[in-house]
Amino acid sequence: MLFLARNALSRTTAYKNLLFVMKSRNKCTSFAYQHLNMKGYIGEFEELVMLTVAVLGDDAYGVSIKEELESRAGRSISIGALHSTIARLEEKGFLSSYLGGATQERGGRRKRYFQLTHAGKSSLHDIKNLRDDLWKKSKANLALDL
Amino acid sequence: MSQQQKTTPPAWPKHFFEWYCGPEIAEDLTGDMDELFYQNVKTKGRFKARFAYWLQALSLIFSYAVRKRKRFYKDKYGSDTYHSVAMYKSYAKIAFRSLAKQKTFSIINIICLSVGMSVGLLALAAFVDVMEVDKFQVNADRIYRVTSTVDDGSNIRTYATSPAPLAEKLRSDVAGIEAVAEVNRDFNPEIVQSANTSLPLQGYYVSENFFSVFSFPLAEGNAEHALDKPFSIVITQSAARKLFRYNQVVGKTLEVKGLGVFEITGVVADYPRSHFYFEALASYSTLAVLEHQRRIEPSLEDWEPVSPHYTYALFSPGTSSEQLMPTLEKIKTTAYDKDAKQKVNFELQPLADIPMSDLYREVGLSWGYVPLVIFFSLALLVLLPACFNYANIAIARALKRAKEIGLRKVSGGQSRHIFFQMVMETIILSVISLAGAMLLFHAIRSQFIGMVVNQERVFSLEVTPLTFCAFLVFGIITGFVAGVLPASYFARLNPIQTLRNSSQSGKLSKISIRKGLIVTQFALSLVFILGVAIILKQYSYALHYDVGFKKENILDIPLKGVDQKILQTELSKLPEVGTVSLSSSVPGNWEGSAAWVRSSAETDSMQVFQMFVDQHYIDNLQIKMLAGEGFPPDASAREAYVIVNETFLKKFDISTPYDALGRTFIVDDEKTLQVIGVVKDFNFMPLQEAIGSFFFRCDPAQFAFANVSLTSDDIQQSLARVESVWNKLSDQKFEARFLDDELEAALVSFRSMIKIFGFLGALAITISCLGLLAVVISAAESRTREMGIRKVFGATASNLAFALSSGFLKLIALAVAIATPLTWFLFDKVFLSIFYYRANIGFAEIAISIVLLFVLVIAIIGSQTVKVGRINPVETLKYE
Repeated sequence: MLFLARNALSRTTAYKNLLFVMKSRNKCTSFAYQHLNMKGYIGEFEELVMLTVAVLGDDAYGVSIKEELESRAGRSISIGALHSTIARLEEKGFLSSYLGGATQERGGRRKRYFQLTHAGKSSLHDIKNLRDDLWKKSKANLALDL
Repeated sequence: MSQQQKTTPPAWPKHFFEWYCGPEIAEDLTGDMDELFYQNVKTKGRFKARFAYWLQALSLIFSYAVRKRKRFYKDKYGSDTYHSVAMYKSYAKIAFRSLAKQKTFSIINIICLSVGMSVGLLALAAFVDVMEVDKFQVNADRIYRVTSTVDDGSNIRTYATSPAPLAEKLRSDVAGIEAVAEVNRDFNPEIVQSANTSLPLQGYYVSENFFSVFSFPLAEGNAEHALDKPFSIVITQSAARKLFRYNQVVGKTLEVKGLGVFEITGVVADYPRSHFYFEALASYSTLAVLEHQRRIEPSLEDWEPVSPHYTYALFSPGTSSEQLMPTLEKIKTTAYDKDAKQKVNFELQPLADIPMSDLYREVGLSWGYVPLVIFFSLALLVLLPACFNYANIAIARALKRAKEIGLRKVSGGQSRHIFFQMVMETIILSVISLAGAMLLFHAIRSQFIGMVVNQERVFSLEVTPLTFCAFLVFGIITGFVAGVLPASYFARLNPIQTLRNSSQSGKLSKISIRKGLIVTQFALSLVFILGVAIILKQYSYALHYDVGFKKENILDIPLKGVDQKILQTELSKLPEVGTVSLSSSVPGNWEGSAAWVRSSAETDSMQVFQMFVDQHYIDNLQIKMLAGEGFPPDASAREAYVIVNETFLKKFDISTPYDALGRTFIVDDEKTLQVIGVVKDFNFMPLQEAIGSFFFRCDPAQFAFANVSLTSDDIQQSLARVESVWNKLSDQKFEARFLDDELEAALVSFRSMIKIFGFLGALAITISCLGLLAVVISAAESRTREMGIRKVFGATASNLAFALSSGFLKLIALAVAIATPLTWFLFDKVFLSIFYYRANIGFAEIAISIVLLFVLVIAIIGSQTVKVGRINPVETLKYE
């Protein structure tokens, strides 16, 4: 009984992404990701997450990313939102993940570590170049008068 | 330690989250949450940390991350393996293999489940049949029937009938009714076919709008005008075939004995099941003509609600029955005297409710709600033991499957997969059993229809696609119910223990469940055996009960308007006939009347049952006189006298029979009658009822039966002689019944109850015995080595038999100890309490039932233990 209920629950949440679900049911899931990737835009928060992963190096997992970002950006981030963003970045192929070894403080549960992929790095470059370009071309004086 | 325990994350959201995500998804996420929680406990305190944990769990559950991961796992591993066709196939294959591997047990299970389900199928088919009644009526949701609830001071009864004038009142006074159809059930024509032969039909008088209110399709004739004229008749196709052997019968005439010549104006196509049952319909206007000709008893103007009339109202769309109640109330108050003893209330009954209602004087067919519930619970009583059996056997055989389960678990099967597999196996088994159950169902169907008196027209119990679907669903549900217990047992097995071949750990507690199952089953079987014994005893008690009058060789002939005097003298002339008396009703199967009697004008009236008889009656039926004398021969004087019974004396506080003689009583506030004699109490009512106060009166106008006592032994010839006398005097059909036959017919419900109980008992016993057999076999199998060792150490075959069977016998003894008082209570307090005169439950019935049960049980256990005892210990000890 319980497993039926659980499946029903996940089905309702998945309903909004019906199109996507239908595509991902295909064996050829990577095709679907490529299709999404063609949009290629990176949001502000996504960029921050990728950069934080870069900052943390080999120690980038859920909690450390959250804390690093919270302390630097000075805003509170919900863990659901963070993992959703990470999931999207993985889908776009900008992040990859692997499971670490068992840890004592987490009740033996393993951590999932994230790292930037090449595509991730190049898209960070793209966005940085775009920004630099825009900064350079700026006709208004962007310098702050202190 | 306690400090640490307090600071664990809240369990509820954690478990829910893990359950929702599944372990493979949740691991790193719960890890993250835990880590954050411990940090929060340090920085913000426990309460806030817990709160934050809840929020985190919720935000993750609704997050894209979890959704995506779930989808990903589904794609990658086919996550829920039970949704993959390959696994279904594998489960089915394994199911069939394991069925084939344990043939004995499979056969036992299949027989048990088939037997258990067969009664369920019967109940289900009956239910579907009842539900189908009148489904074809187009106006079904707008048709209501007026029922009358009559409160006569002592009883409140709801009749399906209503007074005949009510229909006209409804038409003229009530808004919101489109049409009112009248039905009178007294049309039972005998169609004269030639000089000697006639064909009886069953039917109704119906008003001309009958076919516009109800949707009976007409094969021939004009539905709107078929019943306009008096002496029009519409017959069914099957009746037409019986009468003419061909169609096209409209315009022909039928001669009906005693009523006249009718013209056929239409033919009704054979209709689906309806609560009406008719072969012929006569126009309602015929009734008025017949009443005018004095051919039938007048009732059209009578407001008496207990009548042969039925009133159906077709509401206009949008009308509800509540809207009409005030008008009905008004009709009631104008029609009836406020101070009358009998209070009448009209109600509206929807057409759909009719087949499930259980009213007095039903127009055609109905099957009460209560019998259906009883039927279903009896079916459950048989089915549940069969399910228990399955569970019992499956758990007893768990060791054989444990390795498979262990291996499945080790190679990634999760408990829910095992659960699903086991349930599926049971469902496969129960669907196979369904085939057996349907065979049994076909075999017992006609028997069953015969058992339920006069219900053959409600129940066809045909297997239609609808019932078949119901059966299939029923089979699957049965499989699920039977399979849940063993499946959850298997699902919980620990793979390490099963593979180590020591799954004994959980076994002890399971044994107590199994013991419980055996005890329940045998207790139930004993209830049935005892039940049959008790009902049998009550039946023979009722059959041989001294009712206080002679019932052998008394022939009751309904008079049907034949001249009493001539019939009496003509019959008396026959050598085979002793005495001929006349009476208003037949004793024992009471359909007589009652009067209100007071001893003087000042005192209150009491209800007294009455019967009108002539001066020969008391002698003829050999009713014992205690004081006084019978009715005097002088006809004119007789009507002023009554002959009372003993209970009457008690009710009116008269101490001895002689004191009563000469006393006068006021009857129904109109006549003053004098007591001329006192008779011993006799059972004028069925044995369910206590003997009430009663008197005989004399009024030739009330006589309805001639009671002929036959002296000859040649019943056939005597009957033929009596009939020939009858045929000389009347052109109506000769009907006669022997009094003892009639009394026995009143017990017919008994006989069907014995049959039903006996049958169910046989099923229950079969199931429990087969179940016990299976358990004994598996117990003997698992103890063969022990028995071998015992034998080597010098145990005799009887020692072994005792060692094996003592446990089981103890269980059966426990079952007996539980069931005996329970049955006694059930039958003494519930079933037999409907009989005022009843046999007590004796020691003999109980002892015989218990002995019977033990003989069965010992035979079953013995068959296995003897086998085990005979085995050469060398073979058993070599085993493995």
